[in-house]
Amino acid sequence: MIKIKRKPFAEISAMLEPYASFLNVGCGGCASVCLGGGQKEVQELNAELEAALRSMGKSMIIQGYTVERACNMFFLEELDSRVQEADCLGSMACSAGVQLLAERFPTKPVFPMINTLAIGVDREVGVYEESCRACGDCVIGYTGGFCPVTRCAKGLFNGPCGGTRTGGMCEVDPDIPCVWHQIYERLEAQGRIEDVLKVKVPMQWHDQVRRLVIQEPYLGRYVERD
Amino acid sequence: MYELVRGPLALAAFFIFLFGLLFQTVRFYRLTKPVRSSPAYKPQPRSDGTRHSLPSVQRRAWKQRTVLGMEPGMVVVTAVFHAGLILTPLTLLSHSLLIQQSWGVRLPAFPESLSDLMTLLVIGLGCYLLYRRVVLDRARSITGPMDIVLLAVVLAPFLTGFLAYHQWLSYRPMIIAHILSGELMLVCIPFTRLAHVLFFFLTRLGVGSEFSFVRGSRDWR
Amino acid sequence: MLGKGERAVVPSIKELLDENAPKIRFMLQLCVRCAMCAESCFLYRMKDRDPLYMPSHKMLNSVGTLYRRKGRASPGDLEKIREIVWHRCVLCMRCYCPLGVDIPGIIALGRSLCRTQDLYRHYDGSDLKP
Repeated sequence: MIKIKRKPFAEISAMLEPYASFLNVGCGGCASVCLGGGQKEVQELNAELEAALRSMGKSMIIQGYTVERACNMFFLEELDSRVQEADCLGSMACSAGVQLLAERFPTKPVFPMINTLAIGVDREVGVYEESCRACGDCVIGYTGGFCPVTRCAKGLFNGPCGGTRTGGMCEVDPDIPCVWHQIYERLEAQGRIEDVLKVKVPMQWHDQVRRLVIQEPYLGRYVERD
Repeated sequence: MYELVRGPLALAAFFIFLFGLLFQTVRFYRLTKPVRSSPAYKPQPRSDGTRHSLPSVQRRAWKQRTVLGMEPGMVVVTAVFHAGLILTPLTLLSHSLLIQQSWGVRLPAFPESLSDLMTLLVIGLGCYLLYRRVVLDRARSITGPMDIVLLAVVLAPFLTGFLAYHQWLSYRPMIIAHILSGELMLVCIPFTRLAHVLFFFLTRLGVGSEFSFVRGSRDWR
Repeated sequence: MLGKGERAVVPSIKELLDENAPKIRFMLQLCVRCAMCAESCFLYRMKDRDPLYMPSHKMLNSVGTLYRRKGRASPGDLEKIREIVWHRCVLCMRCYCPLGVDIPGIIALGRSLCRTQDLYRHYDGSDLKP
């Protein structure tokens, strides 16, 4: 799922400084799962804000409300009656959720309380590892299930660079394995080492236009067929 | 007694039925709102092209993707049951004659043997539905007394009508029971979950997000 | 913390129920208990076709229960409802109902009702069943 992390407190309080009342909207989806922006995190941030304001002798109306999923308009409907009195809104959902919130309430300033960091996997409670950069053209079938875009510091597609350290570590950081070394090991063990030859064109970010995804069974509903 | 049920009570039942359905229609419209129809999305050209699933997979996919594919027996049973439920009283010769007596309009009618068959079908399938409700774990887990009662209310006019027509028991009390049970059913329809006779069409045609048969243009509020 | 004259954004459980009463009442009445939604739920099919995972069962025993009790629910009741709406449903919104009952909408409402009481799903390991 998407992994997020709360912004530094100083940045958050600077964003909210000009406003008299604030509604912090949490998300019950990815944000909750990675313990970054769910109901508990909303309450914790709100408590921190209140404490900080009190110590500065200021006050602000701070409230929180958590929706199930911030990336689907259906789940934002229940906010309609609840945002009126807030001068500004905050969202602890991933940036997709922040944008949808801003779209639903275009007259309210909307601030992200978090940074969206990764599509990743859960390793331990509280520990999440990036696995995917959403390049849109997945080649990991031919690289033994390792993503060279995400895990190679240089995003190479044609094998390890000359800087791999002894032990198969990346020259950028001795704690990061060289993914091309890992790719080699796994494909060799599966007897598929020739597969790397199928990965030719390096991932250039050739597509900067906003992507639209329409699943195959639904094409007929939205697009006129030629 | 016969004159009472045949006359004013019948009229009252029809009025309650019609106004009840009207009330429920208004309630549906107040619970939903119109939504803008979906914009026509244009997919952006991609150099790799879109990949389509294999034609043979698409042909078989409906078995997993539709309720007809997943539960064909139940779909057929409910379709025939409901069709019989609605068609039988509307095409019964006796009813057609009664309407002609009261309002001068003659509705087309089926031959009586066909109506007999339809009635038996409705009663038989209704009993099957009762059996299913009791025997199937998943149906039993959410069944309450009202479900049994309402099924009885719906089947009673058919059973009593059949018995009255064939005069298997004493005719007079049976025909009165038939008319009364029919009136009871009519009155129950708008105000119990029998109102699904109306809502099936309103939601499945009107609400886009509920697997609507056409492009429904409303959504829940 | 709310100051004088400030309106709470998070409603009480009764307020939220009252706000949504027409819809809840309608959906509970529209459900004819036909059990045809069962096969459309992947969780039902995955859990050996246990009726507890059937969408109508989930709807009727969570929000249905709360509505019938007019919002008066013990902590035990609320915990049972929390278990239904978070652990027996992922809100994939694929449930099919021949009558068009908005099952996901009711389950989502169930989650909102729980949240008003600070009950929600925890992902820090404390939710896992022993």
